[in-house]
Amino acid sequence: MRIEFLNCSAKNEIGYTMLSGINLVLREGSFNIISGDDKSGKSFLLYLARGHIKSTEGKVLINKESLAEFSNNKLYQHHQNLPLMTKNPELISRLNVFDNISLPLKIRGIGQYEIKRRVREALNQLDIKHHEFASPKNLAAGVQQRICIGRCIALKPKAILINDIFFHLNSKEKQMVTELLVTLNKAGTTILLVTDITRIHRIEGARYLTLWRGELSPS
Amino acid sequence: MISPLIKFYRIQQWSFTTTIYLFKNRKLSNIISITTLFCVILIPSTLVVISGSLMDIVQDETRPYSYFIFKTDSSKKDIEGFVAQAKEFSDIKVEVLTPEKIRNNFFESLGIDIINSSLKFPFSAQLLYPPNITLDRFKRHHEYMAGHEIINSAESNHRLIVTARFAAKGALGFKWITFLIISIFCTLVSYVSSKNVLFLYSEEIKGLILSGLKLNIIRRPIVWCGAMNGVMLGALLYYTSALLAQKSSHLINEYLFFLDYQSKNWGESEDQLLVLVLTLMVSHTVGAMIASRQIRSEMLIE
Repeated sequence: MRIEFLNCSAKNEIGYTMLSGINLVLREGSFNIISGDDKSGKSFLLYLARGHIKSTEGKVLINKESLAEFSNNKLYQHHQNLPLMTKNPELISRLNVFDNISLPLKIRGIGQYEIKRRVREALNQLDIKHHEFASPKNLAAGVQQRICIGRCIALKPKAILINDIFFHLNSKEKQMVTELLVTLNKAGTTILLVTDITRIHRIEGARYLTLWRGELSPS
Repeated sequence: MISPLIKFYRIQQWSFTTTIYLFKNRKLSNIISITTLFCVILIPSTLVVISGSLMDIVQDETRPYSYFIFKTDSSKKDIEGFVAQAKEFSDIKVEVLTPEKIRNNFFESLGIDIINSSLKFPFSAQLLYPPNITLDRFKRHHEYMAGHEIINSAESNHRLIVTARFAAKGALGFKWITFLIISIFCTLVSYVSSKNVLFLYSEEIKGLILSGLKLNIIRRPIVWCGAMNGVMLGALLYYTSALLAQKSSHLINEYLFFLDYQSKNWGESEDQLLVLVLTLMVSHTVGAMIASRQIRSEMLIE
C-alpha cells in the first residue's frame, strides 16, 4: 500500500494547528520511523492516514486515490486494510485473548478454520500462546501490548500504522516486536511507526524522520 | 476465504451478544428508569381519564331531539297536522305524548303519589332526528316547527350537541397530548439511561473502531438496549393492566390502564394499549439512537 501526504495540514478540535505542510510519501514495502516530542502531531499524522480526521489543507492519497473522496463504505474498508497499533492496547476486557485477536477477523467474514490458524500463529510469534484463554485485564501491560500487536498482524495487512507501542514493553519484548516488524516489512508490508524522541531505536533499512511542532524534517 | 453471508452473520451475532452484555450489566439503571416511567405515566394518564369522561358525555348526547309543548286548546286534528308537517322531513321519529303519560312521568321523577293530583298537563311531542343530521339543518327544522301556531313552547338539545362535539374534539386532543408527553418523557429517560450505558461501553469503543467496525454497527447495541427497555416497560404495563383489570377498583383501572375500563371488559381496548406499548418502544429506541450518536470516530483521538 502506498500512502502519500501532499502538503497536508490539520487542526485539532480547538483549532490549534497540529500538522503543517506535511509532504511525505510512504512507498510500498517501506519502513518509516517518525520521532517527535510530546504534542508534535505524531498521532495526528496516523489518524490523518486512516481518515479519522480530515486535513484542512492538502490531501492524502491512498494508492493514488484521494482519501477525502472515499465513500463511507470504502473508508471502513480502508480502516480494515490499514490497522493501527496504539500506545494503549484498547482491548475488550470481557473477551479473552483469543477473542480479542479474532474479533477483527470475524467481522471481516473470514472462515473459522483460517481465524484459528492466524490467531495461533500470531500468539506463537508474540510468545503469548499460554495466555490464549486469559482475560486481558488480568495480564501485564507488556502482554496486553503484545495482544494488540497480535490483533493487527493476524489481519496480514499490506500496511500498518504504529503509535509508540514500545512504551509498555521491556527490552526483551522490544527486541521480539522489532524483529517481527522487520520480518513483516521484508514480506512487503508498509510500516509507519511514530515514537517519542526518547524511545527511538535503530532499525536497519528504516527511514528516519523528525516531527517538530507539526512540521516534518529528515532526521 | 471471505464470505459476505458469514460477515453479516458474525456482525449480527456480535451486536446481539454485546446488547445482552450491556443489558445484563446495567440492571440497576434499567430498574430505576422503568420504575420512574411506570410511576410517572400515571400523571399524563389523568388527562386520558378526563378525556374518557368527556367521551361518555358525548356518547350520551349524540342523538339530536326537540321537545314541543302544545297549547292547551289544541285539537287532535291540529296535532295530527303538526305531526304530518314534521314527518315531511325524512328519517324523523315523532312521538306524541298524552297528558296522562307526561303526568305519570313527572310524578314518577319526583317520587310523589299521583292519585289525587289536580295538575293539568298539555299534549306534547318529541322529535328524534337522525344522528347524522347537520347541526344547521337540525336548528332550522326545530325553529321552523317551533313557529307552528299550536306550539306553546319548544326546546332542543342543539346547544348541548354543539358543546358535546367540541368536547369530543377536546377529548381526542387530550389523548394526543398524553401520547406526546409520554413519548417525549420516555425519549428523555431513554437518552439519559443510554448515556449511562455508554460509560460501560466506552472502553470497548476504541477497540472496535480500531478493528474497523462501522460506527453504525458499534452504535447498534446501545439502540437495541433502548428498544429492549421499551419492550420491558411496555410488557410490564400490559401485564399489570391485565392483572389489575379484573381485581382492582374502577378508579385504579382508569388511571393505570390509561383507558376507560369502567364500561368495557378487558380485551376490548387492547388496540389502544398496543399503541401505547409501541409508543414506549419507539420513543425508547429514539432516545437511545440520539445517545448513541455520541459514539464518533474522533473518540479514538486522545
